[in-house]
Amino acid sequence: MKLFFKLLLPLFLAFAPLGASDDFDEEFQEKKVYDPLESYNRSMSKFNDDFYEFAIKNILEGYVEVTPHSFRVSVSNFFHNILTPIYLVNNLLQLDFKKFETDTVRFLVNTTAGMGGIFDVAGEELELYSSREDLGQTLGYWGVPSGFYFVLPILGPTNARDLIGMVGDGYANPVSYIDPIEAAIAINAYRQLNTLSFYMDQIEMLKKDTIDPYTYTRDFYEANRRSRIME
Amino acid sequence: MIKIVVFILFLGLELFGSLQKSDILPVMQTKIGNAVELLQQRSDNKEFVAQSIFDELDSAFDFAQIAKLSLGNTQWNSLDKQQQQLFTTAFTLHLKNSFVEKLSLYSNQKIVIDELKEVKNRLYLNTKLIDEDNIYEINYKFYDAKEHGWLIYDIDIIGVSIIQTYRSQFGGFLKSHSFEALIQWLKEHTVL
Repeated sequence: MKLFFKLLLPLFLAFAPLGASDDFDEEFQEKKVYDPLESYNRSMSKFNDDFYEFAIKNILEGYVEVTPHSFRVSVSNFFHNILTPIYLVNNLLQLDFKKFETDTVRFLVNTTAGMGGIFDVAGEELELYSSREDLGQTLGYWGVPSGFYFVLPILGPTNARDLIGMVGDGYANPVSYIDPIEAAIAINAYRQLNTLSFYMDQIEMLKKDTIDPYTYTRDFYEANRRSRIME
Repeated sequence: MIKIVVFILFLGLELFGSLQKSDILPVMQTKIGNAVELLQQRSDNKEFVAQSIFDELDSAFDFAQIAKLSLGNTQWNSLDKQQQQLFTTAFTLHLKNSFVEKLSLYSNQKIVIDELKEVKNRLYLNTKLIDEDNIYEINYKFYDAKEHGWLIYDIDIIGVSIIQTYRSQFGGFLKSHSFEALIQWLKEHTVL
């Protein structure tokens, strides 16, 4: 394989098509992310990276060590299931009745046959997948621009529109109503940690594989949000 | 020597065996299906799996176009022919290396081929990678490379174009670094 890569690759690339570049320029026109707080955002990203490296990563490694993969998947399923009210509210706000129906059926099936949501029976057996719509997407759907890019302490990338959305979604999140508030915060933090436990390898690769992790993360976040709004 | 010539000839036939519009869906279905089967059966031998997947999929990609687009027109045109060739080779190696490393992330996820969609004068092969925790949309984007048939020039992963992410990173990097520094970075981050 090494021989192929080092000697033959340049040879075949020399004869590679590199066809008409017609309207590629238009397709890949730079989509500038509005980032007036770049200096703050870069500092906060650095803080978040360090926080992940020196605190969260150790906790995650311990968590992955003591919990079977299937347990973490069940935790993830459970939380997705109880967050269904957020998806349903946003399906309605976007007048998307097809997704509303799918999320409703998912909720009913997973809450009953999926034993309170710990098993994703709807996804595995019926191939019904969650819309995971949120208020940031709803606002985007109705034409609200993303506004400035912003890096939150610990939570990471967002933008002005999604930040407002996050606050709004809090009202449809059943965990928000748990009393005392410290318990609600702890449960939400655990949910985030559990989700992160699936992405540890990806985080390491991202750090190694990108020439400028800040730009990459920012552009990736914005492009992904744009794409989800258009779905 | 004969073996090498035969190999290059075979490589040439494979590379320039052009993919027609009507072939994309069935051919990619077979190629992706074969790649998944390999991943499931030979997950112990990453190097073998990677080589086999390259054999399956290489001919569908236009790496030279991908490299050019990733650098962007302004940067690309500022390079001489030799530098363009140098960048294309280094970047292609880097992409392949990055792909090999990511193979270790595969753990029996299901890959579903949804549809072949016509978008202006392009064709998008929409696929889904279904994981236990999430679903990731992966779209292979083809353009008409005339006598070379239809070739992949970009991949969208969860709505994000890999070309676009490289383009903005390279653009930013080259504002404060030289072209040689970029080549150096690519080489340092390619272990194959």
